[in-house]
Amino acid sequence: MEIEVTSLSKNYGKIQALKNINLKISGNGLVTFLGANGAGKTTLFKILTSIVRPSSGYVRVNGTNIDSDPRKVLSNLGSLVEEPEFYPYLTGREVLEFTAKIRGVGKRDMEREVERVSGLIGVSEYLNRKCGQYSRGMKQRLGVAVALVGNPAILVLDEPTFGMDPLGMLEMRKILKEMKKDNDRLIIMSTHLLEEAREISDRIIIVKRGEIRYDSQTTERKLLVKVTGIVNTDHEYKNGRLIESGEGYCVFEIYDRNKLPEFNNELLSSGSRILYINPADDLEKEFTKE
Amino acid sequence: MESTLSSLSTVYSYYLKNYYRSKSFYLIFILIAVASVLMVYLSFHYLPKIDALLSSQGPAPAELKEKVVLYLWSYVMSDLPVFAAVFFSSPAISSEIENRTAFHIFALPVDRSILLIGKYLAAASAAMISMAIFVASEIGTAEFLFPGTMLFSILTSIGMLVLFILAISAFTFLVSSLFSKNLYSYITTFIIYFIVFDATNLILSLLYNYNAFFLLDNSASIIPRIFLNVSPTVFGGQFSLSGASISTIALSLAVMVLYTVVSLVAALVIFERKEVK
Repeated sequence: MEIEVTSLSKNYGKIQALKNINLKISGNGLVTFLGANGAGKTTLFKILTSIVRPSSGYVRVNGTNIDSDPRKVLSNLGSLVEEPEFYPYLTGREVLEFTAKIRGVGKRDMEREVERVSGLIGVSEYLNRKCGQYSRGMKQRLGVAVALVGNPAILVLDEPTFGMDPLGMLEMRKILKEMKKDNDRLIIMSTHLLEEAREISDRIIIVKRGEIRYDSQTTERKLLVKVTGIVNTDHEYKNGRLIESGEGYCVFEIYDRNKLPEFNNELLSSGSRILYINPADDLEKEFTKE
Repeated sequence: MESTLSSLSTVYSYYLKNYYRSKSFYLIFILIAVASVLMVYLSFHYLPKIDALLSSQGPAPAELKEKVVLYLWSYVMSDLPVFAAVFFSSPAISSEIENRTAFHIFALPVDRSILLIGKYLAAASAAMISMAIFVASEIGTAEFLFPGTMLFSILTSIGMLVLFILAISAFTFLVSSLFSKNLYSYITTFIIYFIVFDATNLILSLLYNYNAFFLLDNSASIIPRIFLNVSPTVFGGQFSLSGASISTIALSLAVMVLYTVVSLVAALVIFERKEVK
């Protein structure tokens, strides 16, 4: 599986939702786009699923430009984009059957496929209810089930845990972790929850104001430690450098991951009075920085 | 080809299901049933008055009485599809955006043209099904009052009604494809059909003595004019107690087919470029 995003930009009137995105995602696993609301994640996903067209640039999925042959690309790509809505007078089962028929699932396998995806996502119990009666969380689950119909090799899930209660969120993360074990599947998801991204992703890409600000695959990851207490900031540390200080805490970048114990000793010998030291990655910093 | 037809059939059947289970369907069905009951009442009570109306020319022949009764039925019948089309077709495209169902269907591996045609056929079918009670009441009343005399004309009129439903639904789809809000789509369709078309008709008829045959509401007037060649919406001053001529029927038919094809093609072009922001 390979997704190639080249010089991709999208404008909505004067608003530039995506600015010259270049990206390559290949292989399997789970890639998470992390960003605040309005960062551009959903716009990127809409282009990936042919819901909107790029203003410039292109997306190729397994070598096929989605803009020139969306049907071919979508035949192997299941998606959940934004908060999904379904036809209110159709039942959940009918929505899944409709999707299955469009995806070419034969009559013989139809029932088995509907049972498989509904069982996996936990929507079986309300499958015979009309979608107009579904709660937000139920619609979200049905949306994920719809994305899985036909077992597509690529899954594009835009905030799959959105609108779910905490238990539902945990369950969904567990399902995603299970699904990413499948060697023939690439899952691309988005979230604005840092912990969710950390917990389940193989690769994290931070999107901010329509640009890619961080990619865990290509950006050099630094080892950061947050030291809480009174830190001697005048001391010259050999194994790390002070990069941020605040009330009662300091953040240091460690030059060499293997020299963390030496840095701890340095801290203690510098006269600092330490309450505790937390190793931290640079994700939070990248996520919050302007 | 087989896959295209199979996708079209799937899209059509699911959209039709969603239509006939909707509250709009039951509402329009009830309104048409009420109109049917009123027309049955009118037919039975108006019949004796037709003689009085035409008394200067002696007792009216049975065929003329039947024509008058059927003209009245068909006159009402030519307006009802407009409301049915507005109910079913006006929100057809705009609702996909407003109700966000487009996020589901646009991301499916199916051509948008199939989605549009499938939904169009489903909406037109829903309008036709809801009209069935009126058509059945018309045929029943005619058969009861004048057994087996003008069945061919009735069927011709119903055939033109089916074409009109296809044309008005296509036209309404075109209007719907322009908007992302259902309300704008409803209002625009009503304004175009009942105000813009009428105003154009009045201007051309009264100022230029020109029969605006190309307007969809004028071509729809053929549905009753199959019985009596009288059209209150065309101010040409020509009318006849005989039915419309073959050439007039053919012209109206051509106008309806043209509206259907042009509207659908234009709607398709817009729908293909439709984005959900």
